[in-house]
Amino acid sequence: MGTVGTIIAYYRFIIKFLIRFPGKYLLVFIMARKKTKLSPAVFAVFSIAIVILGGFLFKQRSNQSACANSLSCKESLELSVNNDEQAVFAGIALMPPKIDLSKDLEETAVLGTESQTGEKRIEVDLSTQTVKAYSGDSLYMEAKVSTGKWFPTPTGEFTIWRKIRATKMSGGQGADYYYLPNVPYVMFFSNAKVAGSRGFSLHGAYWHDNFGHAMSHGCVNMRTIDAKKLYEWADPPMEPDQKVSTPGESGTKIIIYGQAP
Amino acid sequence: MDKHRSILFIKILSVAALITLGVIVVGSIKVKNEIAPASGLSESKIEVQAVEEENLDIPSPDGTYTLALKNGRELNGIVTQIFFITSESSATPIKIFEKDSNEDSRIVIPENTFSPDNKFVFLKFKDLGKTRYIVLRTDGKDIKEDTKSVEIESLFSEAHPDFVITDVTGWGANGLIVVNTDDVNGKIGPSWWFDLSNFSFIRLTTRFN
Repeated sequence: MGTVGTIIAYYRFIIKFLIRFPGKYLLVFIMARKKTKLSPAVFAVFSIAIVILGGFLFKQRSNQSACANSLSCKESLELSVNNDEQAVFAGIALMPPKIDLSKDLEETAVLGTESQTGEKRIEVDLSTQTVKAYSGDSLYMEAKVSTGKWFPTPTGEFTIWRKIRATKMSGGQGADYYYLPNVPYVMFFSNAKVAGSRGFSLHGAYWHDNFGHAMSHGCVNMRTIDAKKLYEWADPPMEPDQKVSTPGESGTKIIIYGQAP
Repeated sequence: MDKHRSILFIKILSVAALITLGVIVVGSIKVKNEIAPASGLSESKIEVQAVEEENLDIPSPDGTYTLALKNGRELNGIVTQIFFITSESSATPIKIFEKDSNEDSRIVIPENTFSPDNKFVFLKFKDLGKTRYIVLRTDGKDIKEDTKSVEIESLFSEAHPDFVITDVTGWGANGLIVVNTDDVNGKIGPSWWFDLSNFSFIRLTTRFN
């Protein structure tokens, strides 16, 4: 029997057996060995390898499809301001900073239209937990960030596909549960491998001040003042009264590399 | 003939010495230029150790508060360091801390000094070879009965003598300071929250590197 045929027979048999006799799991392996006609030692090694491979593939698959904010996957992609809702992080309740959207109009001109020349790009170095923004060769800003601690921040080349002035993010479970209204200055990024619907973004973080150290569920956390500066500089450009960027308009390139400590 | 040779030898030596001196001077200027700071555009707060009379302003992460450090003029190696808080809501600076420091014990403002709600700051200084961290309220009031500050290192070493603090990195949440430790043998230890609600340490299962 060929290797692929053996694997298929192995899985088919186990699945059939588990469906028919769910209480007799221990017998599965004995009968599977008989069915595949392998010696006990080879079968044991083969089983362990299959289980490890299965676990690895399952983990890869779940990592590739999971949302950055598991409890607010779609909701986080929309504009949301909730000044009276309590936030929860690290088991502690806190009030999020109030956001007055009408005040933004007084503060800013057209966003994303800095006069510096050259193509804009944002680089996030996971190993040093820093973000750098460039216009061509000239450095526009540099800041400490907090990237994925409980879930890895994806690496590669991305573009900002949507900017939102504020949104709600929630996820995690048990001690890691978080519920965060009014997350400010959100810049969602995506590429062919990491869909925009998964909700990875750079954004301000008001619930901790431990920048320079991994501390997020996959997003790139920034100080609110740094996030504001980057949000106003990065493409796609937005009018001051616009709180969500125009759909379909592509934004600044983001390069994420390195490995979080 | 010998005299001529000696003069020639001295001349060669002098020229060689001048060339060597020139090379050293040019080399040192080049090295100086190479170690100049890379960029002044950083938005991040950089740990600053004030040495001479000067003022430093560090904004909170949301930009609504500022921690200002005023270093007095150095006298016999002692500098009076005064810390003030200013905020958008109050025009009057609040003095939160003052200390006479010598060069070895000068206070520095660490990164992530402000708590997320801007109610506290923590500062760092060396004392008798140990790095110490103090926490202060930003409204200038006592943090504990009749005490303006609490010192993390001494509280920790008293409560958990099997571990030593390696770093205090910032705030995990409101009222929770991130403390990294090693065990006494130098093996990597756990991270802890220093909980300001009761001044205790909570051992964490995850480590914040």
